[in-house]
Parts: sequence; structure tokens; C-alpha cells
Amino acid sequence: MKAWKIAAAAALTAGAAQAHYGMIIPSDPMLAQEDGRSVALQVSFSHPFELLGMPLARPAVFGVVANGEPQDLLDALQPATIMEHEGFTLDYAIAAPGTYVFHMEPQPYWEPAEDAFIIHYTKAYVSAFGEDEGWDAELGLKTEIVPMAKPFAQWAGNVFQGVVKLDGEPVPHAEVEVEFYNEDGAAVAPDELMITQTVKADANGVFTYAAPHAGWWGFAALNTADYTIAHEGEDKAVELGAVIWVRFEDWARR
Amino acid sequence: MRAALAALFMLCALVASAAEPLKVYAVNAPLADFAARLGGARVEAVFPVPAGRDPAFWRPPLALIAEFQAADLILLNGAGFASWTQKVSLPRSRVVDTSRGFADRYIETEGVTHSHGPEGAHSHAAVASYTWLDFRQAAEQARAVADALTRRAPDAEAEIAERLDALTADLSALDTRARAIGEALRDVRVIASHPRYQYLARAYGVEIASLDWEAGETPTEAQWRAFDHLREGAARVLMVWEAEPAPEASAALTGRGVAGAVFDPGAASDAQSRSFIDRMSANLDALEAALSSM
Amino acid sequence: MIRAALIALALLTGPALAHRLNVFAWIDGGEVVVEAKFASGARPRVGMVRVYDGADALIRTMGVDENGSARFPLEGAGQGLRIEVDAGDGHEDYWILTPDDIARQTGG
Repeated sequence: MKAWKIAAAAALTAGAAQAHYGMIIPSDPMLAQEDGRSVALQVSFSHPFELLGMPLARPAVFGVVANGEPQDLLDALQPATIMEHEGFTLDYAIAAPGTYVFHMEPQPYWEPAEDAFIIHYTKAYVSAFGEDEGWDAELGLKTEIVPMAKPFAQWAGNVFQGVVKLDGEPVPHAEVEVEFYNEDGAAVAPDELMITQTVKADANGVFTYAAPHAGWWGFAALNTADYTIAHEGEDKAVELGAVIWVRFEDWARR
Repeated sequence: MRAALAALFMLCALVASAAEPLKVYAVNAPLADFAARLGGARVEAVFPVPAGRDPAFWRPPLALIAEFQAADLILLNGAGFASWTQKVSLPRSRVVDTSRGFADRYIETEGVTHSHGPEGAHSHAAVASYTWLDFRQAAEQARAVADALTRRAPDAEAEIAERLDALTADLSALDTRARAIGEALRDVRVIASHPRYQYLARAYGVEIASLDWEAGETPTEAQWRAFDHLREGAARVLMVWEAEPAPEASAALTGRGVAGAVFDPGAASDAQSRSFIDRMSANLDALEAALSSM
Repeated sequence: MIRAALIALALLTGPALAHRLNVFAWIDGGEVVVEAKFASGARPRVGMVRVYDGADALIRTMGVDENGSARFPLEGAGQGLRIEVDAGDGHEDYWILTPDDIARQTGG
């Protein structure tokens, strides 16, 4: 409790917060038999490294694609407080082995600091009971990072690659922000510039990043929408984020 | 640290109204006892395993599983205890595996298949599951229960913390006593009627050979021969019963000049409704009495 | 960390766990789908499915197909079901569907 407050206070005094992230964090990215047959999700809109929350209104869309079958879960979201702000939790019963892709389209979030609205299309994956087929499927979201490496079962240090897509087309040279979910508050950034890492995709929209540490890493590809939303009578730009959460595991030895 | 912070983020997640006690379902008696003691009036602890059934292998009827699914908090022991919990969808955010923090210290056992008792054929798990018989591990499990309760009832944080301190002190006192008893048992051959005591043995430096005798039943001649084989060459032998032995069995033991003690592993509910601490104290009393009779 | 420990454990206890049967059951189009898999990923080619109702009374038996699967209509499931698959040699497992699970999966 105390540590968190100190971290938060430090972050606040350090200046402007870093990248925004839609967050879907499963209790377990790879469910084994011993883990039981349910997964819990924490759903929020936050600065994951600094553990600073922002309010997340009930999303426009929340669902799962379970072994290729879409299912609406919007009504199953339970209001919760995450990082001291409105968010949601969800208990999801997993009946069958396979890959479960949870995804959200939040309502536009007005960010005065950026004079723009933010919509982060967010995804997270759970593989259940040893089956991983379907991890590379494209959900067909407005904007989406399609993984080129499994977004689970990764060792810390592995590179992760994905294609940034907007309206189904790769986005050449797209900018991708990468941030660690500093769950236990233990990670320290020696410089503010280290909080959010930035990489650019190549001409085919493919980006590459090697995660230096085990845990959840968020990748957010940001593009400006070809439409605006009115705010107090003025048309404002809309930042579209394609967010994918990827879990990296510690190298294990017997 | 990690757990505490993770707890923090979930913290206000499911704040219960102060009026309604939290319905806490537990898979064994120690966890139910910890929850009741730590939560006080804020908790209604439910341990629904009927008397006479082995909670490690018992499977609840479907109606009861529905009750577990609807509980505010579901306390699991982990280490393979109550494997039915892996065969149903229990709401993950309300499930706490109390031994997860020391999963790297589980003791492996050989899988033995039994075909006795009301559970019918069952096999003892490949991991020893009576984790609380190492009282330091019991304290870790108590802390996991306290953390989970605090998440559900954040306004009761101070009182839960206070009760956890008291419970931890009691467990620590048991640990100290058990350590001394373990020391005294160093040159005694200890034979147990059932393989229950793996964590006790490891924690307190006692080597315990296990038989597979049914509680309360009179052992057969062949079983006694196996027993005699185990005690061969030992000057001092202690027989540990998991429940009060049949009088004939007791007599046969006395006839062999072997001391006996009842050590109730405490997974099932207690006929006398004693607390976990009282049950374990009685077990240590029994071991001390047996030692002094040798 | 915990996972690592569990995996280490699984490796050490290898033979027993590698052979373990796991049973899954869910509802698809008004039918209960049963799937049995060994922990290795292999499917049992033969096996007996036994279906018990909410009072744990046996209401149905059938064999698995060559994929270790079986289907049966969702009848008599009002109080929940327990579905057991026995693939022989002590390889058996079960899966429980409570009324709540069934309601959720049928969208009710």
C-alpha cells in the first residue's frame, strides 16, 4: 500500500504520465488442469508502468473469440476499482481447451492533455489446457495488432512481432509504443524516457520488440482516425490504438 | 510485496456491504477455522464436508457445488487436495489457492491406489496435500486467507491484521513445540497408520514410515507382520494413529512394547468442534505423552 | 515462478501425469459435447462415457468416437450433470456442469 503510494507520488512529481493503455489482464495466460476452469480478467484504462489509472466507462464492445466463435461478454463485466479508478472485472468459465481472445472497444475517452479522443481496441489471449490453435487469427477490429508470434508461452528475452493493421490493411512504418505492466511496482525507470519504449514498424507494418523481463507487456500501435468527434462544439481528432497484451515468462530451471 | 500490491489493485473490486457476512467456503477444516477466526463476525465460514468423509477425496453433490460457485470466497488448499475443484468452473476471482505461495515446496509422493472407504477406489495424489502439518506453512496459508478476506472487506483491514498476528503467534508456538518434539524423536522409529504426515516429517526432522491402515479397523495378521518388519532393529518405536485405534489394535501394540499416539491430521471437521490450534496442541500433547512413556 | 515450480513438479512426476486423462464437456446447439484427452494431447480411441444427473444417478452411457468425443442431447440436465469418461486401465476423469453452467452456456 505504502510502496504504491510512494511510486504514484514519485510518478506524479516526475511530470506528465506516459502512454495510455487499454488493459485486459487475465489471471493466467496459460491455463493448466491444476489451475481450475475459470479465468479472471481485470479490465481498465491505465498507465501500466506507473500504475496510474483513468476511468474506464462501460465499453462499447467487450467479447471473446473462443476457438473462433465470437461471444458477447459486455453484460458480464462487473464494475470494479482498478488503480483507484473505474474499471471492470470478469470471471469467465472455460469449458473447452483452446485459445480465447478477449477484446474490447472502449467508448471514446476525452484526453484534454492531448486535445483528442482516445479509443484503444484492446486484446488479450488465454490458452486453455494445452491447446493453442487460433492464436494468430485476425479478429477484424477497426485497428488491430495481428500477432506473428504467440502472444503467450514466450520467454522473457524473446522477440515479439506483429503486424499493425488499420481497417484490415497493414500500416507501413506505424509507431508502436511498448510498456511493461509494473504489477508489483518493483520496476524502476532510470529515466522517464524508459517508461514507454517506442519502435516503428517496417514497410509491411511489421514491428519487432524483445521484452527484457517476464510479465505482461502492452503493445499499442497508434493511428489518427479519418474522422473527428465533437467536443464542446469543436471537432477533435481521434487517436485509434491497437493494443495487444503479451505475457512473457521467466526462464525456468529445475 | 507482489501479492500485497496485486491485492491492492483488486482491493476495492468487490467490496462487500458491511451488513452481510461474507460467505466463505473452504475445502478443509483448517482453512474454515482460519477464515472464521480471522474474519470474526464479518465471515460465515462453511466447511460442508459431512462427518466421516475424507475431505481430500470427497466430491460434493451438484447442489453443493452450486453453493461453492455462489460463495463470496472459495478457499482451496492446493497441492492436489480436493481435486473436484479442478473439474468445475469456480469463479476465478473468488478462488484462493492458499498454498500457491509455496508450491515449489510441495512434497511428491508415489501415487497409490486404494479401493477402500466410502470414496471407493481413489488414489493418493502424486503430491502430499496435508500442507498445514508444517505449522509455518499453515501460517502462510492463514496469511493467504487474511489477504483474501481483506480484499473483500477492506474496512476490516486493521482487525483482520490484528487477528492474523494472534493466529500467527499461536502457529509459531506450535512450530516451536513441534520442533522440540522432532528433536526428541530423532532416534525413535516412527510409523504412521496412514500416509498423512509428510510435511510434519520434513518440517520437524522426523523420519516417518507409513502404513496404509484404515482408521478404526483392526489390522490383519499380515498387516502386523508388515508393521513388525518396519520396526525391526529399532530400540524405540512410536506408532502414530490418525484416529483412535480399535481396542484390539491398541492391545496388540502394547503387547509388542510399542508406544502409540493419536495425531489427528485435522482435515475433517472435529467431533468436539475444537479450533485448529486446540486440535494440533492435543496432537503434540499426545506425542509428548508417548515420548515420556518410552 | 509458481508456474515454473509446478512445471518442474510435473516433469519430475512425469509418467503418472503424462498418462492422465482429462475430460471436458460443454454445450453446443442444445447438445452436450464431451471430449477426452490424455495430458500428452492424444485422444483415447475407446472409452465409456457415463452421464450422471444432479442426484448422481446414472442416466446414460455411450462410447467415445475415434476422436475421444461424444455428443448427447441436453435432456435431464435440469439439476446439472456429471460426465465421466473411462478409457480403461484406471484412466478416468469427469467434468461437472452445474445448472448455472448450463444456463450460461445456453444463453439463458
